[in-house]
Amino acid sequence: MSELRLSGISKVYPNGLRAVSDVDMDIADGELLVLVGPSGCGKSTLLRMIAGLEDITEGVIEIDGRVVNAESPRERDIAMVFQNYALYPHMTVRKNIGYSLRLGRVPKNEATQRIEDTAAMLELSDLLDRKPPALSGGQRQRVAMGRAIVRSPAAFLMDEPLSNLDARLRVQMRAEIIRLQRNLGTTTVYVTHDQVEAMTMGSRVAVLRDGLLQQVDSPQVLYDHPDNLFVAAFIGSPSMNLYQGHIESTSTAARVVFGAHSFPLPDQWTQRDGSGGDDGQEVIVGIRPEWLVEQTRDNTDLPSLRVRVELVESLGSELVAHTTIDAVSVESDTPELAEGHVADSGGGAACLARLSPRSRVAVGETIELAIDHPSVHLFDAETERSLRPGRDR
Amino acid sequence: MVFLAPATVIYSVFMVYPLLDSLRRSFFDDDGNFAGLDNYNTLFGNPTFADRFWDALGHNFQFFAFHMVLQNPIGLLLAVLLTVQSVRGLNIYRTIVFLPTTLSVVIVGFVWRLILSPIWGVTETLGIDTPLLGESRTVLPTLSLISVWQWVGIPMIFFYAVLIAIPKDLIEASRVDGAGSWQVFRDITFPLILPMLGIISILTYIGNFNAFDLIYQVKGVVAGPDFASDIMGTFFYRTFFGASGTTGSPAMGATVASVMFLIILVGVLIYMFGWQRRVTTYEL
Amino acid sequence: MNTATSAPAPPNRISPTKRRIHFGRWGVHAVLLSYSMLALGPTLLIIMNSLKSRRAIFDDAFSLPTADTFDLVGYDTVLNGSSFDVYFRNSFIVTVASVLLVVFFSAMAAFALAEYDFKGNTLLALYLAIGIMIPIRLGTVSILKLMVSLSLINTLWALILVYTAMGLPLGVFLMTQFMRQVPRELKSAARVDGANEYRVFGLVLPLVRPGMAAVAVFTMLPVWNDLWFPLILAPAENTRTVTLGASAFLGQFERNWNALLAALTLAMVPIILLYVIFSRQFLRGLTEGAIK
Repeated sequence: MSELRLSGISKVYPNGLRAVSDVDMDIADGELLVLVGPSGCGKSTLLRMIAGLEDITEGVIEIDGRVVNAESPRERDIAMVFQNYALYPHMTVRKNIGYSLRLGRVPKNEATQRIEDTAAMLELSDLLDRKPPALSGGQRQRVAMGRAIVRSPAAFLMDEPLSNLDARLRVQMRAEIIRLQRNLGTTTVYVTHDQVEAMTMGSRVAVLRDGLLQQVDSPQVLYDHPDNLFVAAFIGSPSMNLYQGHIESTSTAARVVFGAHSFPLPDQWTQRDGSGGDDGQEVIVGIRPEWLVEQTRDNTDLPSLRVRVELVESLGSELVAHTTIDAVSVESDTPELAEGHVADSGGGAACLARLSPRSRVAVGETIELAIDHPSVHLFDAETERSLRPGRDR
Repeated sequence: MVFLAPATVIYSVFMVYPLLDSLRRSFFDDDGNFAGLDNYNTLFGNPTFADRFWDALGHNFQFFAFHMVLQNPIGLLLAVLLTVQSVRGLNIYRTIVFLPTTLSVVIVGFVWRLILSPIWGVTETLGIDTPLLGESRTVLPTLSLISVWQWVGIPMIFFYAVLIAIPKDLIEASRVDGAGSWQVFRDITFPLILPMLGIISILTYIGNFNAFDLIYQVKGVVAGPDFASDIMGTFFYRTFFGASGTTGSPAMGATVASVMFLIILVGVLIYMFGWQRRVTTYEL
Repeated sequence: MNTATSAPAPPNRISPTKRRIHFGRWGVHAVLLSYSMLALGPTLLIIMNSLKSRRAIFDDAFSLPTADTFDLVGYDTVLNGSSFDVYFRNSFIVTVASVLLVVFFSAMAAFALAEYDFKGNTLLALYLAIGIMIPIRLGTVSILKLMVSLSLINTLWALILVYTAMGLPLGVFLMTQFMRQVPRELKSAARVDGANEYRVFGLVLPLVRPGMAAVAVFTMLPVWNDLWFPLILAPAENTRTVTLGASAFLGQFERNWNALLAALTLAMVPIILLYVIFSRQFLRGLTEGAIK
């Protein structure tokens, strides 16, 4: 039952590599905070600094107001679940779970009781005398959880604990971790590179990139109001379509122009005096695939985009159309964002659309897609920061 | 099976056949007549042989004890230090510590013979005033220490290999569980390298009963003074080829070899059934 | 200054734990450094003194050679009175030939043992592995008779054959472990593409290169340094290996310390240089072999 406070945390390796830069973060008592970012973004390093496995170059970590920078892992009272579970192969499940209690000189009776309670909670009671090599992946994962839970520590740290499980088990364990965390009410920091996992698990999600904290907020806010281009592109699957554009502004109206397309700058963006953004300002236009719909008689009031259908994937519940559009797309510098995109071909930039399964688009066709333009994100081309005016909190 | 032929043939002709033939010869005299257990009776009954044999065997076990007590723990300690995380420049130490192991026993023997020679005076400077290699009381321990000095690289590199194979996660998990350095070693590292300890012990045992070169180089084939540094290897060589005054006998040589074979076999069996059965190797 | 005392202490001051970590780090260095000195000391002492005059060797063994005490007389004696070049050539031929034969033959045998499921597979593997536990020296009596009857006494072939036999058990054992790690799909794919067994073997070899390196390293050391078999099987002047040659040569100069020190230095330095240059590969080979 504790709160964690990170102030100005940096990690610089002896070779000069800066893994984490000036991270400030408060994690409330009982909160489940997810740290997400592409691989190599420093999220695991940050977690390991909280655990005491990595020296802190700059900044202060506090647990319940106590500075723990110089404390060894054992003094911090923190439990960690590792990606590969890190179960001791020569110890039985019972001993694996009870190891920390043994080291902490917990009286034998109490230790036995706590091990058995934990095992019962995780449905491991029948496996207590087995050794890890004789367990399945899911069972090992539970033992790793048990090892953390039995201590009733100040906080749980979880480093991609589900990434070694198959997809079905992962979804199941995800729910189970959420349930356990809620019941125990233990402050938890959960690291993952999977934004879907981050969105489904975290009460708040912290997005990290190149060691810099990009945004910390609830999943919905991250989705609706990303602070910058990176967060916008990272959150959401399939990820956002991004195009180079600019603003054309006259005394009466302002339009966003990209490639051969344009739409009026939505009302809430125009400034009080009626004019829009600055004329000629370079922007990046972000359109989520789910904001594109087939143009029908009902939505002719919406601006439309003319695209050419290259490939159609039918997922049953929806239909993902890979299309090309006459515009210049913005290269994303994050490799994980590239997947799922059709590379720009001679015909223009790739544009992904999630359409209703009943839509009848055919490959090779040129169609009009309506765009729910007030939802569109605009980013400053230079700073990559969101141009959306102050949002209501 | 073209693939198996060369290895099997060379191995059989130049290793298995000679070993078996040696065993056979131990039951024949030097002229090729069947002699039953006569050679063994001579070895254990005739004082000129028996005294030397028991001496050499005793010395050999002392030699082995020195290696077990010093070489392997020092090797383990060095390996543990070499795998400490977050200390830099360890590769240089690793290279240096292994260096004596690459030198030939002849060189090592001579280097130490010169250094410990009372004529040079190096020992005097170091505060040693006995001729360590010249007195029967000190010669065997000194030779053992030289051997330990030379071969410590082997257990070091073997332990090093298993230590770096232990996933970092396991060590970190135990630290987060609250273990200090010593507890990590006692509870996690040591149990995981236990199988290697067995392998190194049996290799040391076999190697020590195979030892010959160092003693031959430093003390000659009579393993002086007064046979105080005689071990099975030198005893075998003398019995086979003879030395100063005695004539050699292939049959007796084969007999000694057969007894050594038996001693090694006992060690190997103890290892296989007394140790290996009980110690599990964990897939890491 | 007095006013500053009221300011709160900086939160990330170094606590006792931090200091303990640093002490540990220095402790590690201290222990390893002292052992390194113990490992290097004797060698350095010999090399250092081999460059000094006889007087200086005895007067002050621990000082570096100076302009006054510098003297190469030992090297003169050694280089004029020995055939170290022949010994080196012999050792080189024997070591390289044995290592090549061991590596190649054990790779072949291991390929068969790991790849084909024939009757007696396990038995044969066991038969070949027994040799790891039994020193070949115990068969010396019969090996000598055998070499005599094959007229191989005082030839390098005698040594090469014995060392190959000696290295094979461990070689086959190690290579089998490495061969088992080669993905089955790869071999199947090659066969489907029409490769015969020799081709498949040729395809697998580059994939087990770490294994071959490990076997080479494990074979090399005992062969190069062996005194026993050269002494018994090839003691003639023209077939002596460095180890035997040095042993005999050093014996002649019992009283000439300059020559002794120079000879030892000459025998050591090439090995040390080779080792230092290849230590990375060499130790990696040992390390990879050791955990199989």
